[in-house]
Amino acid sequence: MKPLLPAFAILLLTTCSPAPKQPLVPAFFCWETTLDISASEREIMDSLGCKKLYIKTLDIGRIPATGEIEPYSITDISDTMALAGLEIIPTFFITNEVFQNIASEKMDWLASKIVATLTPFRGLGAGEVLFDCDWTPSTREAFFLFLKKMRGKLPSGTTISATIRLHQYKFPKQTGVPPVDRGMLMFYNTGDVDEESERNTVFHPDDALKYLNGASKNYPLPLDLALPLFSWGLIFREGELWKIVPGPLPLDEMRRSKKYVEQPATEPFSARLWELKEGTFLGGHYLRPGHHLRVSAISPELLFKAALLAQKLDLADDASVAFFHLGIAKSEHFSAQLLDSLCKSVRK
Amino acid sequence: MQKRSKVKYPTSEIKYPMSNKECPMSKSVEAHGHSGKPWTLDIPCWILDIKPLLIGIFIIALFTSFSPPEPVYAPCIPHSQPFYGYTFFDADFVDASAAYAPFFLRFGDYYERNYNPELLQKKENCEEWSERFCSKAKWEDVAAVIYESDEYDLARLHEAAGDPSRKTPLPFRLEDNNFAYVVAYNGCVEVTRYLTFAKRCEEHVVARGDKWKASQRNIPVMLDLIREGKQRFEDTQSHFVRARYAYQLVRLAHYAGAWQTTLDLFNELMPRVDRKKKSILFYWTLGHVAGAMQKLGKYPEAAYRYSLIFRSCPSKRSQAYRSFKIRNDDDWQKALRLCNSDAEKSTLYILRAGGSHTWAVADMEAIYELDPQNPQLELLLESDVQELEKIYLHTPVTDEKNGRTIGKIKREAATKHLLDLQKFVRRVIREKQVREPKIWRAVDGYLELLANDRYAAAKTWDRLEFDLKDGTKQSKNIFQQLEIWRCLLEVMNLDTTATDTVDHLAYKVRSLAAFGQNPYFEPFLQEWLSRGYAENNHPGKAMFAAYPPHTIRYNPRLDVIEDLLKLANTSDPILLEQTMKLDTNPERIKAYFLETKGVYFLGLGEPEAAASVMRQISPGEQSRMTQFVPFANRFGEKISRESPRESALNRLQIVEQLIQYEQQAKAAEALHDTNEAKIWLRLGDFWYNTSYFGYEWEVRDFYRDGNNQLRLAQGPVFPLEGAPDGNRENLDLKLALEYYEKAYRAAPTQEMKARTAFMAARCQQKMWFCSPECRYRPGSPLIPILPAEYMIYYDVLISKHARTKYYDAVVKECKWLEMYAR
Repeated sequence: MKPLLPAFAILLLTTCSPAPKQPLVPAFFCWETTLDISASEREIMDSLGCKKLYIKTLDIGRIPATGEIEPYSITDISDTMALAGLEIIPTFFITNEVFQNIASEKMDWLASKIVATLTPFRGLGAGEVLFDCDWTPSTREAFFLFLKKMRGKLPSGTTISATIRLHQYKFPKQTGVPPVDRGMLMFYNTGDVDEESERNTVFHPDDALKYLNGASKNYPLPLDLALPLFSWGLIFREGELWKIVPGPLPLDEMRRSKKYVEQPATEPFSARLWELKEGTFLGGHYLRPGHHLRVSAISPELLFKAALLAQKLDLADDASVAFFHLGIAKSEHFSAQLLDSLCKSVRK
Repeated sequence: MQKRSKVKYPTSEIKYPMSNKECPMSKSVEAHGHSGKPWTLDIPCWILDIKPLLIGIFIIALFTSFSPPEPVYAPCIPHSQPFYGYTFFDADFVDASAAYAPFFLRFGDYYERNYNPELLQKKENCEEWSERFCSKAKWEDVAAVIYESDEYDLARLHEAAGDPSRKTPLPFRLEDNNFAYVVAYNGCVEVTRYLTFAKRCEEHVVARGDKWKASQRNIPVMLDLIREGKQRFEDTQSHFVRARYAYQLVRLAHYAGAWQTTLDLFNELMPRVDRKKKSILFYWTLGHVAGAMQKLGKYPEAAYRYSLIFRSCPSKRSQAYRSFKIRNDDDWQKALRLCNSDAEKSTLYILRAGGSHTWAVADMEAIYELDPQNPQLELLLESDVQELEKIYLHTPVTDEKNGRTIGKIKREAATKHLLDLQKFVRRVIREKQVREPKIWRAVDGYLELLANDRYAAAKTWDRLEFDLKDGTKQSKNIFQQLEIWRCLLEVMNLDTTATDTVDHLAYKVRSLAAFGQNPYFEPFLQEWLSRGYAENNHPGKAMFAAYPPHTIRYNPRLDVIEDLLKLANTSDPILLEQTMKLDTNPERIKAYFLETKGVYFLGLGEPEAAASVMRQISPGEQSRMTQFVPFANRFGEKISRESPRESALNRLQIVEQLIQYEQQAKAAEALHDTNEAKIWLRLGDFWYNTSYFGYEWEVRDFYRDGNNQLRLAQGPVFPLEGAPDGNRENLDLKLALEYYEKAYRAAPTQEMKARTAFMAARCQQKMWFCSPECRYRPGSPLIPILPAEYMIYYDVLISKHARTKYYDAVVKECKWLEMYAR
């Protein structure tokens, strides 16, 4: 019996020590209205070993004039050639207004409508669906009930996920935890877009840290992580947010132009402020003298800061890191190598 | 920390919905979540039926698993309709029916009623068809054939048209249709052949019914139709029909996503259509070309074409307006270079100006430089002045009643904007290059009025009036506008310090013809007067000038009531007019104010003062006062009144009874009378029953809002639409509790002690509901758990008086007590 003892001890050691966590699974969000994955986008995904794609399928809201619930946009996914070998996760963005004063029967109707849109995904082996809604106290109950209804309508075994905002992560008891299988923690939009003085509305480590400090180590759901790859320009008119111009913005061109005056950066990672000296078009909007443009962007350095902070998060063992979003990954030249090392730094 | 975003982004904007906008919940956490106070334990009633052991387990589970309910935050005063301010423009001043007008002006629902792009589109097309057939058919008949007939009807119509003997009957549904008759009678087979083809195209280009499905186009069939259509185009003689084939084919190509084919088809077919006669079909086709150009990245070319459509085609104007897109300055310069005239360039500037008013003067200057005769300049001018009206034609009362005006110019920037606009208007008047200088002169005066230079405004209009005697329609319209503005000038000239004359002058203003022509005059006058009265120490009159009489009762203010009582003894016209809504009897009006004042004092817990006031009500009016039964002891939670009984008393009798009970109680206390407890109990019952939580709440209040129970901690004054001082609820139960405590101490029997302890416990429970730390919401089916300091009398009742008949009775009725006892 003696030789068995060391073996037993080894077995004991291996079973008692925490199992090493699996590497994070790289993924992307596809947020375009027409699913048109280019060769270069597919190349980035393949180089990164990305096997998962969250595709925004429906953008659901209420028509202001009638209050009717309708899709604002439906993604055309008739071209599925570029999706070969990828796990597709249909993603539904639902505005908070949808769940305001919604009747139970309407929720059933909405759930059925959503289920019907999943037909094209059947052949793509979608075993998970993601719901994105910025619920508030007045809509929480309805949104959670809707999620329960969805479970009843989806094929058994389907994983239901919901996006989790940072404040929801920090205060799960107060904000509630959606009745789903997984959460997708959105590790960005740390600043208030309405505030002109905000440092960086896409991501700022100090702002993100506020949400992590004091947060419980054990969030009640297994969590995936969403990281930002986007930038945007916020146009302020007389101190009020007027428009959002999606990035990337032609910063070099703006620097050369006399129409813009760039204010010196006040601190690292802060958004850059530009003052308009002459009228000019940007992103389809006509900006006038006196308007302010605040450009919040994510740099590789900032992404690594985010990854470092994300180490403190309570992510699932089998967590994915989903980059928002694929279209930008290509245009901002975030290389696959960079994104790969980013995934690795989150789980160090 | 983040704040919640208030901005609503239009759907055309990029959406970054996966945002971390913080909801108010997390703020509440900071405010209350870590306060160290115990959370409310909410237990569903059905648990009460489970055996005690299970309850115990369940309670433990609840403590560990239930998250605390979040506090509810009261919204600001909810205004049911967004408020866009007052406008004193007459719809005929500039050409409000001008095709561009809906994009710039607002006249209530004028455009909603008169401007429906879809209908306009149908109508324009049908009218063109009708004209083609020598106007022998009404446009509605054309619409029935083109838009409502199915393939079967059209096939039958084609047969009829192709029958040289004219014996083939019209299809049943079209047999009374004049247009179908004209087509068949004239043997217009080119037309019927085209209509049949168009019907086949329709299903590929019209939006499907189900908005929840991505449109699945059948591209091969669409391309086949294009090929077939091209052949039909070749075979067709009529240029009228050829233009329509070209439109169908270009549209099909556009919807098929064949962008280059769309352009090629247009370039190939359109030159082969005789365009000597203007047709809306050209612009409809051009819209698809512009759409395809945008898809091909030819933004300047597309923008130029959209501007042409915007300028010349009313039925596609709104689509062109929405689709117009200039990405950058290069696009803009290229689009300008594509223009063939300054007039075309000015349309680009108009589209660039869009709905933005911040720099409208700069846009107007640019358009004026290019095309001073451009009629749209007047629309832009009026549009901009309408924005200034929002800022200058409002009072604090306007804001209070309607909420903040929704406008595009910030108040801080308004002065500069006004001065810039005045400068530009004067330049235009000086240079005399515009189409209608008189319009600009009239506006010059109006700008002076908005700048509060009333004398100058009047002088400017006086000078202008001399030049309006030519009898032209335009002069008449301007004169009519001046009448309205002069009426506004009269309102703004009303001197509210001249108390003896101002009200009569206000009535004189009301009698002006122009006053009745604009619905905004009455509310504006009321608010203008109200502001003046308030500034001149007439708070009551100010309130009555702007609000209906019952408003004073939401949260009665002593200064308001006293001012009104003073005025009630005079023949003040404002007061008379408003009180006419109450009654015509002066005694009754006075009684209304006195009763309100009495209730005000009763609300403060001062029955003597209330009695003193209400005794001034004449005996005749006293007999008309509402009666109540506020002294009964009840343990139900209903807040509805019981029907009056014989013992019912009016408010004056109630306060007199109250004073009497108080005296009796004090005497009984001094004499150690055994009735002492009973009298204290009655007094406690009065203050409880007439509180927000009691069934006779109306004794001390005129309006109770049930929704306020969800935000009790924010009281006692709650926001309410139409109530400038909010709505006060009687939430304070300290006086009731004080009397119940006295009653408990004096109670000679266990039964009486149980009764008074229970009532004291109810007071403490409601006081907890009003505490900011309380998460329980009255009306919830859950059982509220009270902190120890609010449980004192429940504990006393349960521990000391559980063996009383009263306890047995009350525990059967009150599930909460039953639960607490467990």
